[in-house]
Amino acid sequence: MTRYALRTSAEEATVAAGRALAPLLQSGDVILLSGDLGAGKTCLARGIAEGLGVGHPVTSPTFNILLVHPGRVFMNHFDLYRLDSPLQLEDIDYWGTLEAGGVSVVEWGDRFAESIPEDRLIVAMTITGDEERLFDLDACGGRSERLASAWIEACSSIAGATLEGGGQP
Amino acid sequence: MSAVVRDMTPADIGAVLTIENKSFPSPWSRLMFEQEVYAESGRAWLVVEHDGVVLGYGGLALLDEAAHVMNLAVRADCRHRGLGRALLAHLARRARGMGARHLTLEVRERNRSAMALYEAAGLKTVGVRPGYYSETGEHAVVMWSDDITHPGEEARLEELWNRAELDLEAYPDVATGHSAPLVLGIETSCDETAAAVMRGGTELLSSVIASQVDFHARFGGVVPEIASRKHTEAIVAVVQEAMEEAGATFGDLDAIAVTHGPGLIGALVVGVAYAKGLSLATGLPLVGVNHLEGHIFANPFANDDVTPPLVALVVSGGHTSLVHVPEWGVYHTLGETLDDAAGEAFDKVAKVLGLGYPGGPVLSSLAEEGDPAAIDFPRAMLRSGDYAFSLSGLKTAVINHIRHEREAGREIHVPDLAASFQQAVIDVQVTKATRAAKELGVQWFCLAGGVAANKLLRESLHETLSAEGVRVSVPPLDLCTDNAAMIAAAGTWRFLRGERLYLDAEAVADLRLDADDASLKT
Repeated sequence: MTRYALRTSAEEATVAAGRALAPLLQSGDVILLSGDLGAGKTCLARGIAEGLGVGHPVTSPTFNILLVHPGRVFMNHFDLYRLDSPLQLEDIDYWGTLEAGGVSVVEWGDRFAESIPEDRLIVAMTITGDEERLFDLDACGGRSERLASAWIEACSSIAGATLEGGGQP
Repeated sequence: MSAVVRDMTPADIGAVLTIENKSFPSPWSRLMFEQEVYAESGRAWLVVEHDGVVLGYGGLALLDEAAHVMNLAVRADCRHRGLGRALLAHLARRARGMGARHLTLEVRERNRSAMALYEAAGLKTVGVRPGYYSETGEHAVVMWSDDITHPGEEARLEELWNRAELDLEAYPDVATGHSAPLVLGIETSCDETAAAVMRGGTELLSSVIASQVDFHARFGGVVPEIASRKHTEAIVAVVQEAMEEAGATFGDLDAIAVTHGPGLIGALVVGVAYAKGLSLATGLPLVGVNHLEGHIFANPFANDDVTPPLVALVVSGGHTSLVHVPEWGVYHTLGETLDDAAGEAFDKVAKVLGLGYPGGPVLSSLAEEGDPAAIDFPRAMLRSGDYAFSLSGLKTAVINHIRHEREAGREIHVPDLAASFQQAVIDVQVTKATRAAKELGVQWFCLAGGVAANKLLRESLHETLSAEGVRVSVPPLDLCTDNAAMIAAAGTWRFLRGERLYLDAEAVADLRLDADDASLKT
C-alpha cells in the first residue's frame, strides 16, 4: 500500500491534476473519489475527462448514477451517492461495467466496502479552505501503486499543486 | 391509420422494385437498392407507406456538402397527392441533419411534374447533360439548390415540410380519420416506474406511478428506486393498473410509446425491453420518446393554447436545459448546466444544511421564512452572454459560508441561507429564460420538470415574462415530475407523424434532444 498527499490551491489546480492523470490511464483502471459535498470530486473527474479528450463538459452524474463519456479511452463516470445499499451495486451493473473496460471514475466510490476493488486507487478529498483542497491518495495493488506514483510525479509541474510528505511503503 | 414516411429497410426492396420497374425505362436493380440500404453512412433512404403497403420511396447520398437525390418515385395510382412532396421534404430535412449545404439531382427533361416539385423545393436548373438517359436519348436537367442551411432556404424547406404534412393529413384515401389513437405510455428513465393511457394525445384515461401511495398499498410496498430490479418488479403491475383504470385492453390500443433516453441505462432498458416485448406480442407499433421532449409535451397537454414557437426550461434533479422549440418535434438546446442540475443543487445544499436527501422541497419551504438578500451568493454565468448554467460554484459558496460561520462561532440562520441560495439560483434561471424568450421572439414560455414545483421560480417567471408580453405555461405539478402521461402525449404526436422505434432499437443513456429532428427514426 502506498500513500501520498497532494494539496491544490484552487479549482483550476484540481482540474489540472485530473488532466495530468489522464495520459497515465488505461482501460480497466478504477479511480475511487471520496469526500464531502463540494470537495471537488466532479472537478477532478472533469479534469480527467478533459485529459482523455472528452469534448463536452462533464456534468454531475449524481442523478443518472452513471454517465459514459467517449474519449481516447471511454470514461465510466459513476456517482454512488444516491445508492443506499450495496445490493444496488448489482442492480446498476457496477461490476459488469467496471470489468467491461474503459476508465472508471467513481464518486463516493468508498461508500460501500463492496464497491472497492482489490487493486484500487482511492482519492480522499478534504476541504481545507475556500479554494484549497487536500487529496489523500491511498493506492493498493501493483497497478494502482504505479499509477499513484506516476500521477504524483506528473503533478509536480502543476502550478498550485504541492506534494506533502513522501510516499510511505 | 395515416400514411407514414419511414426509413427503408431491406424488407421493403421487393415492393420498391415493383414501383421502380413500372416508373422508369431503365430501372435500378435489387443489388443497387441493397447497396444503398446497407450503406454504412452518407445515405438516407425512405419509403412512404399506408397500412403496411409501400406507396413510394426516395433516397439520397451525401457527397461532400451536396445531398444527391438518387431516386424518387410514387406508385402511379397514388401520384399528385403530395406523397412525392412529403418524401422530398423528409429527405431535405434528413440532408440538413447530415450536414448537407445543397440538394442536387438530375431529372428527365420531359418530366415536367417532377421538375415542378423540385422547383417548389427551391432547386434551380443549372445545366443540361445531353443524352444522359441513353435508353431514350433524353437530356438530363441538372438542378441544384441554394445553401439549404441559410435561414431563407431553411424556411422554404420547412414550408414544404409543413405543406407535405398537411397533404398527408388531407389525403382521404390514406389518412382514414384515425385522429384519436389510443396510446400506452411507459416511462422508466430513472427512479419512477410509470404507465399511462391517453386518447388522441389530449384525453388522459389513466396515469399510474409506482411510488404513488395508493399503488404501494395495493402492491405491497414496491418502492422503485434507482434499481432496475425494482423497475422489473413493478412494470407489469403498473402497466396492468394503467390499462385497468383506462378500461382498455391491449387490443384497443393503437400504439405503445416508451422513453428510450436519456436516463440511467439500467432503468431505461427495463421500459424499452418491456415495450418491445409488448409490441412484438401484440403487433402494436412502437414509438420512442425522448424524456425531455416528454417533459415539454406536458405543457400542450395541460393547456391546448400552448403552441410553438416557444422556449422551454426543463429543470429537474437531473436536467437544467433551456430549449428553443420553433415547431413541435424540432428542438434547439440553447444551454444546459455545465456541472450540477438545479434540482440536484437544491438537494445537495439541503443535505449540507442537515435537511436530509433529497431535501430540495424542504429547503424551498424554509426559504419562504427567510430573507433572500441576507447573503450575497454568486450568480454564476449571469453575464456570460450565453445560455449555459453552472451551479457547482454556488454549492461550494454555500458550503464555504457555513464553514466560515461555524469557525466564527456564529449560528447559521437556515431560513435566510435557504432563501439567499434559492434567490441566487432563480435569478440566473429567470434572467436567462427571459433573455431567450425575448431574443427568439416567442409568444410562449413553458416550464417543465420537477423543479417547476418551486413556487418562487414559477412566480418569478410569470412576473418577468408577462411583463415582456410572453405567456407562461406551467403544467400541474403531477405532470412536472416524472410521469408516463407526458410520454403518451409526446408519443401520440410522434405516432401520428409515422415515427417508429424498431425492435433492434436500444435505450440510449445520453440521447440528445436536438438529434431527433434530424431523424424520423428516433
